[in-house]
Amino acid sequence: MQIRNRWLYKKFASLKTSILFLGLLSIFYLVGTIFPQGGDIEDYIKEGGRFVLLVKIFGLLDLFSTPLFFITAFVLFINIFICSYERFLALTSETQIDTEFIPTHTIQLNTKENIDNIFIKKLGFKKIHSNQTAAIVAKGLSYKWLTWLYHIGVFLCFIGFFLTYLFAFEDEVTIYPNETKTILPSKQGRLQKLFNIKPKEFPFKIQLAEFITEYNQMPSIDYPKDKLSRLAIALGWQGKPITYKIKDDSYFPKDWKSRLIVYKDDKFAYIKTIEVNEPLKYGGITFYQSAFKQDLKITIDNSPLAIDAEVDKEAILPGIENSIVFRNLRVGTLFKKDGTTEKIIPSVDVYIVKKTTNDKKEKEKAGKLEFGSSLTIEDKAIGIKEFKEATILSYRYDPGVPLLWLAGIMVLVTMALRVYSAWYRIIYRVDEEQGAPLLKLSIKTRGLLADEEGMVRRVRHYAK
Amino acid sequence: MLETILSRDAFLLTIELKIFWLIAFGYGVCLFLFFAHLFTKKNSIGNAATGILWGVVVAHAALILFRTFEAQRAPFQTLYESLSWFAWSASITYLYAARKWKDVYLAGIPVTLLSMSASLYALLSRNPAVEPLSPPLQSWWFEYHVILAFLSYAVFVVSCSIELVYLLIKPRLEKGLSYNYGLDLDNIETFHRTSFKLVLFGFPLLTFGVFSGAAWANDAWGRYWSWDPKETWSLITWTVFAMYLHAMTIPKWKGLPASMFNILGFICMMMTFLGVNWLAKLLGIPSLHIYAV
Ligand code: HEM
Repeated sequence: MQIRNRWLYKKFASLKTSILFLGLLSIFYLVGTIFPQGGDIEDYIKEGGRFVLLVKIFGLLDLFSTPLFFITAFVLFINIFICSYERFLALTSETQIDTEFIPTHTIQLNTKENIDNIFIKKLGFKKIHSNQTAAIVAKGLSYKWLTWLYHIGVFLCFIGFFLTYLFAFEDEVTIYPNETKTILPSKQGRLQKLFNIKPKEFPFKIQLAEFITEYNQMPSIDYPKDKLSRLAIALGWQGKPITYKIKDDSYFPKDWKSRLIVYKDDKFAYIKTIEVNEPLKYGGITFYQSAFKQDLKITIDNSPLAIDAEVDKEAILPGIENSIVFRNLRVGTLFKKDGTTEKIIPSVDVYIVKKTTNDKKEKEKAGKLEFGSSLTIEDKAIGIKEFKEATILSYRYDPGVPLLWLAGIMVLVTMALRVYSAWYRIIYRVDEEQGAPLLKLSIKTRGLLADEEGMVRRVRHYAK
Repeated sequence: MLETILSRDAFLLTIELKIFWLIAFGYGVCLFLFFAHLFTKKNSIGNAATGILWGVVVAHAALILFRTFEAQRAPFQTLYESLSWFAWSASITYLYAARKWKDVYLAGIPVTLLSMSASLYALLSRNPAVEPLSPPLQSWWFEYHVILAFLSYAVFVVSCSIELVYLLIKPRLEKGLSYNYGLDLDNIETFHRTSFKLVLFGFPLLTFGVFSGAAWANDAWGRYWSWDPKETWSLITWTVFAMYLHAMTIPKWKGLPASMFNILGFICMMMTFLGVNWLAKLLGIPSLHIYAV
């Protein structure tokens, strides 16, 4: 009891404190949108960021891991905890009739029916309390308990974030088709880092059984970008109709899929084809389809010796002065606009990297190289001998997620019930005045679906 | 075969754009009439504006269905599409909220101004092409996330408009001016309460918007929260509306302070929707990737 009378405790139990700290957190968030979170200070300087000193002092590129943010969030967390505790005490203490019962409606009672029966049997109310002064009945889910429950949900969310903050880590792994990999993360959670606990190898292996790339044929429209021409088309002043065209580069990624097989103790354990939005969950770790890596073996003038090249990286080819970049290796299946599918003839775009006068590099497209044919660059015929696609999986361990699911659903459901569903409380008393019984009542409602006037009308109807 | 499909699609898109222009024009006509009512104070003009807005909203609903048929999927993928949904949902929410407010037309001005601007922005500056869904968008969450989050935006637009009207008219009533655009000392508080009820209605939707966004990111990117500017702005909006709702439970804060939170919430919502890119550019600050939607 003692502590509940202290100044600090009272501050923590106050709604104004919540508003203040919600406001302070918003300011943190705002600053966080101005500085690229997770960014690198070098990149920040390179890209022309102006507040280098501030960024360095306050750790603004990792603002949400700074002690200042943490303390602010923690105060709100304690605030929610104490508020919920206080509310709980209030809710479980006995319901009292408002000291002064001020009826807002007076209704003539003409029925022989017991008034309690009207509320309970006819109108579906529950009796909560009654004494000599008046009786209280209520209908609907208690809005106070619902409010309390979603605040508890918010409280649990904070614990979920905290678990993520302490324990979560993520990393990446690249696997080639038919390769089986054991995985040793190079990163670990904050707490493990703090106690210098080394990451452990996962107790299972992953094999990439197959990697699948699929594309949609994407037509683009012939439609002007400038506003006046668009207006002119709308007004019919420009005769050129809008058209859809299929261009050479109208490949739009449809899906990347990895068929993964998990082996535990060298025995088959699990198989799943993953794609973006469809991760593999195994052993507490979630594996996501993140990206892919494409490798080529290039031949020059049909020489049997092939040169390794990676797509999107500069390659030096013997006999060719400028370096070369291969881009957009297309393999897999194309889903065409007319509903048919087609195996893509593998091809890659070839760019020559030229040095310009001011030592900058410029890429110039040399052409498209198809599997089975060749492209001539600086008098050399280059061709593709082989290509390979590896999947890049990102994986993550995050023990906060299950709790967040639970808490999030709890918040949503109870908040929706609180806000939308109807709740009524009626306090009433029957008075005799000049020999005629009068029903006097006051009504309170919550929830957007509650219809106060409608409920009073129904009471009147049964009182007739 | 392919050629036929492409020319059919182009034909449908042309029709769609023409109707959309007419709808944008329709919002403009309503805006003009609401303005005319402001000056002429004639209820017949206000009624005409409301009547025409009903017509425009029905036509716009048909257009959104048309786009659904054209694209063979829910029409919420590109900014062009979500702007259209935003314009429509703001106006229909306004009509629904205003149905009880005979002779009060002022809130129609900001709402139709936004609906018209959103439609014109979509028509003039965004790419209207029907595009296939990119892999990250191919999620169960996608449609629910966008539909409900945008519905909450519409609700906040109307709530803020009512709030502004209240702040404008209340001092006039206190001064005892005779004509107050359908509001008087008896009904203005009930009118004002509509804005609170709207935020109450929208807040769980916004909560769902933030939650579903996080659940989706958890499936697609493997992390439920990355402090991306768009995510962070949605959290700011959510927090500010939570502050508003709490301020409304403190008797002393119920008046102007709460009203300010409501208007601030609206500004944050517009930042989440459109302002993120703009702010990054304005401050010359490198920003992480920003989603298309
Ligand atoms: C992130 C934190 C919070 C969120 C999102 C939140 C959310 C809400 C919302 C939406 C409402 C209004 C709807 C309703 O009346 O049920 C509300 C009401 C309320 N909140 Fe919070 N809240 C938070 C933190 C707190 C804290 C820390 C306190 C403790 C002081 C608190 C105490 C209250 C009270 C007393 C009400 C009035 C409930 C009533 O109408 O009976 N909230 N909260």
